[in-house]
Amino acid sequence: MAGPILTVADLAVAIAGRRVVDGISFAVKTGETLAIVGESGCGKSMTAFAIMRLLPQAARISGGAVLFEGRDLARIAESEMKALRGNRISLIFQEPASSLDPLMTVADQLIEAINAHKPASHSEAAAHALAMLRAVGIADPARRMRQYPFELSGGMCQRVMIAIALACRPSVLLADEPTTALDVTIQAQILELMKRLRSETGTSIVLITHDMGVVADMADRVLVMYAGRIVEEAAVDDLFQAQHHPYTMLLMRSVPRLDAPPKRALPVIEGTVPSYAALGTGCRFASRCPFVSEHCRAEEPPLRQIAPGRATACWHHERVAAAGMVPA
Amino acid sequence: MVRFLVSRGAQSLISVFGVMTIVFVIMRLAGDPTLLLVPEGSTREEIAQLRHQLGFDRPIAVQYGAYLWDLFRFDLGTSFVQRVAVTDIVGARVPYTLKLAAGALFAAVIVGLPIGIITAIRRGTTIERILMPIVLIGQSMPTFWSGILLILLFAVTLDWLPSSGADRLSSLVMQAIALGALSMATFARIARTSIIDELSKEYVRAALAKGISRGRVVLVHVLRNAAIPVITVAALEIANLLAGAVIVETVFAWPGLGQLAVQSIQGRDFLVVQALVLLASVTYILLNLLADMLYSLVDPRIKLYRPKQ
Ligand SMILES: Nc1ncnc2c1ncn2[C@@H]1O[C@H](COP(=O)(O)OP(=O)(O)O)[C@@H](O)[C@H]1O
Ligand SMILES: [Mg+2]
Repeated sequence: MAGPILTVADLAVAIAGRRVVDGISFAVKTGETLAIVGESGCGKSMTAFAIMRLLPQAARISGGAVLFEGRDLARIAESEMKALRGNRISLIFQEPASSLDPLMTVADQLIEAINAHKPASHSEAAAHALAMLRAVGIADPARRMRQYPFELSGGMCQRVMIAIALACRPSVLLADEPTTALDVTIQAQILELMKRLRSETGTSIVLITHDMGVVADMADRVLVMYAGRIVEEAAVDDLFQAQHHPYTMLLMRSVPRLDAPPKRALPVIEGTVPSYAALGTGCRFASRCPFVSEHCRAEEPPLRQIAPGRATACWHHERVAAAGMVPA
Repeated sequence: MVRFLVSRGAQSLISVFGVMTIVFVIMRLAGDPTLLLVPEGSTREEIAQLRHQLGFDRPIAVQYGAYLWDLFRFDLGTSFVQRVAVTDIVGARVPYTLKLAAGALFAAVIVGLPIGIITAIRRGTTIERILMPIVLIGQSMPTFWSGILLILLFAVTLDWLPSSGADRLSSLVMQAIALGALSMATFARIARTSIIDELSKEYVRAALAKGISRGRVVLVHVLRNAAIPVITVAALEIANLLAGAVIVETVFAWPGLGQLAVQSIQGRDFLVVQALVLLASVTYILLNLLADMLYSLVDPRIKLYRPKQ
């Protein structure tokens, strides 16, 4: 694979002085699918919104850089950013049904996206829109074009959102839990669609999810986020092979694997994400961690490389990995 | 949509019928309606004669049928106080109140909506802090009080505008402002809340993610969605204007329906009062129907709604 298309360096997002994204760094290679996983509230959406510069009013980028096509998206003018959004870099959302304007037809919403960057005559734009609907596997696209969002199912709305996002052939697609709101069969269909479009267009995907099953299905590489920080990074196969952070194990435990024998019972990991105010000096996961030591409470472990393409933020990662190994 | 409109139209007809019935019942509940209608100081014989003449000695069902039939023919009877057909008395006043209400609505909309839009889009800025007190004043100042203050300032002190009468366009200015102030505040508040509500929706971020400007998102997406509650409120606001007209017309000696209502109540001209009650109710119902029709034009969820068989 080629070099990185998108590089996030020490990115921080603050809401009312609280760092909800606290200095995260990663790179997305061309054609790669990078998954960001973590419990709800750990800062995944804020990361995506910060990259797109579409943070809620209360939030702002408080540090770091987002390098894309030779520019720092955190610093360029809004007009420059506008020219990139939906054009070179796109975003799709968790709630497809509420991501479409309820008062506008599917055609108009698609044409709006096309015209924003590639102004064309109405008939050209309409033809492009129709082709996009066909490409995302919508049956009877001519009829769907004239319909309103309330006439479409959730899965269909997400297909439309994907069509809108990919209409201008972006090089990066940020997908913020694109299947979370959909039921299981539809979820599988949307993932299939994303895989097909990825192989057809070579678009890099940043796939945000809290579902390890989706990660296993889609991703090349995985970032595990906890309380605004990256705690583990690995290629997807390596991560499923061995987890070097106890939080990753917690996430894994929630996935039923049909293709593997049940794991040896893991030490129970209880508790919830600490409130940001309660964060002290030590490891943010310490209060929930069965491997916790004095060292963990005293000093926050940095994200350290432990093998090529593999990093973890745990003082005891070797002990953790050994304890969590799946028996052969 | 046709089905929706037909069903709403039928509902409105039923409401109108209900109002007529309630008015009929109330007139009868008060006892013998003849006593309400005779001029003061009539003799027993005159009353009996009038009762027969008006048919109030007939069975109640017959009276009810006759009452509905009269209304159907727009025959509201003849005022015993003025000896003139009620429809003529009311009809002569309608244009004045329409003019006043239209002026007030115009003032309310052209001031209220922009204030609502600007304070929603420019939240937390100086311009919001300048505009919000205007809304507050419009909302909290009683009409009779603001009316008198306006007269003091523009008619007495500055002598720019006439303090009463209805013969020139200039005599509409203060009246429209006094009557429209509350509606202005309502439009501003509803528009503001509605826009702020829409701005927080996910489709706004999704539209921005397409790479269109914030201005266009507001113009094309947000305002249209935010219009739906505003339309509903607008219909009720017009009805409120008619209620407010009673006070404004009294303060400014404006010869409209509000003044007529006050005069008729004071003069015990009950057929005119009854006509005004019916007119106000029917207007209210029709405005609601109009709001629903507009609503269905804006919102495809209603326009295209097909009830499941
Ligand atoms: N509009 C907002 N105002 C204040 N806090 C917010 C807002 N949106 C999100 N947050 C907070 O920011 C943190 C990160 O949220 P988010 O990125 O949405 O999490 P995720 O997408 O991983 O579930 C959470 O703790 C959440 O409470
Ligand atoms: Mg989220």
